[in-house]
Amino acid sequence: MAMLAIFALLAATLVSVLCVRPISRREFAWFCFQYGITPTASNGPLIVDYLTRTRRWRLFGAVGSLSVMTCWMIVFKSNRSPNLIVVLFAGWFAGGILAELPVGTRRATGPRAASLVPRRPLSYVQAATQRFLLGSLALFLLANARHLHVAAIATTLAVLVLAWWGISTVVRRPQPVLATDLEQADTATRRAAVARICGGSIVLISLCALWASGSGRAPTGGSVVVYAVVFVGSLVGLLTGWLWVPTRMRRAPRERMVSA
Amino acid sequence: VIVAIDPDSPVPPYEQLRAQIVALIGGGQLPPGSQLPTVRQLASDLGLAPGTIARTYRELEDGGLIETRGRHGTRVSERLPKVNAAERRRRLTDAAAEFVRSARSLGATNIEIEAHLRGLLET
Repeated sequence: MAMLAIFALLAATLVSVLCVRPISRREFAWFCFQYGITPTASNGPLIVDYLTRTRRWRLFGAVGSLSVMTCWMIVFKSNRSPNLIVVLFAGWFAGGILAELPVGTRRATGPRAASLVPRRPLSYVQAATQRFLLGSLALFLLANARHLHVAAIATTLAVLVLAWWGISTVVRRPQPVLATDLEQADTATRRAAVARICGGSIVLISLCALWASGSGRAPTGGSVVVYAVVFVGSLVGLLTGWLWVPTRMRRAPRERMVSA
Repeated sequence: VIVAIDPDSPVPPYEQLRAQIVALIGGGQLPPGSQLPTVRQLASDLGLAPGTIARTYRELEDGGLIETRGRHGTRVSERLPKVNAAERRRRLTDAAAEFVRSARSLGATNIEIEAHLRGLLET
């Protein structure tokens, strides 16, 4: 218990140190490269603001979830240690979604203009990402075939609801007609947000699959094969969601998102 | 494909939007079958009430220009209604009147209006 409290305190200190650190040139350049943005004097602050806000909220989310978990264990004198990685990552994921809420849109005075190109959630994610998301869900169901893990199921359902809500918020955010560089940056921040939400969902669902498959009785006979499939699939899901999905967004998926 | 709404115009926003979508369909920029944004998306992008956009879509639907197919969204009709000569003349007059009204509100003289129109026609 004391170890957990110390760990939470250390994490909070680390976050406060990381939060005051400005976005480095390297991080900024990497984001611009990933999304094919040409940095300009007007879109630069928009990107830096987005990167700073999302990093701050994700870190606060991770630390917040750790603190809640520690308080829960102290208040209810619980000896059962919850899955620390799932808790930590769930906080990071929820923080990332919360970071998308305060995004405002500059509403110009005078005539208002809008594009007639429809924005859909699937326009922002690549087909491979959708397949990985469905694959991780299938693995999760497989992991629960032998023994239903209620906490993992509840976490996965919460992840799906949060992810859908987050993506809808990002897609429905107003997009007035802006200068080309600003529009590029706006579209890139939307794609980054959707990619992070999808990637985070894949990671969390894979973690939940591992969590569910690791509980209950030790696998025997044919269930060893199922366990092995879930284990290997979840590891692939973890790597894909964390590394591949957020860094493979340079090519615009399916259709041009910028208005003609 | 951009639409613009002038909040200072005496023409109500739903009518401004309707006229522009009709012009875009007529001009071929919105070909038959092309999907239109949802009411909520267009309302938030233009800063208008969803009811205003819904009214525009309803009127376009009544005119047979667009179709709403439940979950598949709103699309430009595959079979656009034929415009008869009288209706075509009326729409042209409306468009010209709108142009002249906007130009006059900017303080343009008849000569300036003519010159601009001629310039546009020659490009």
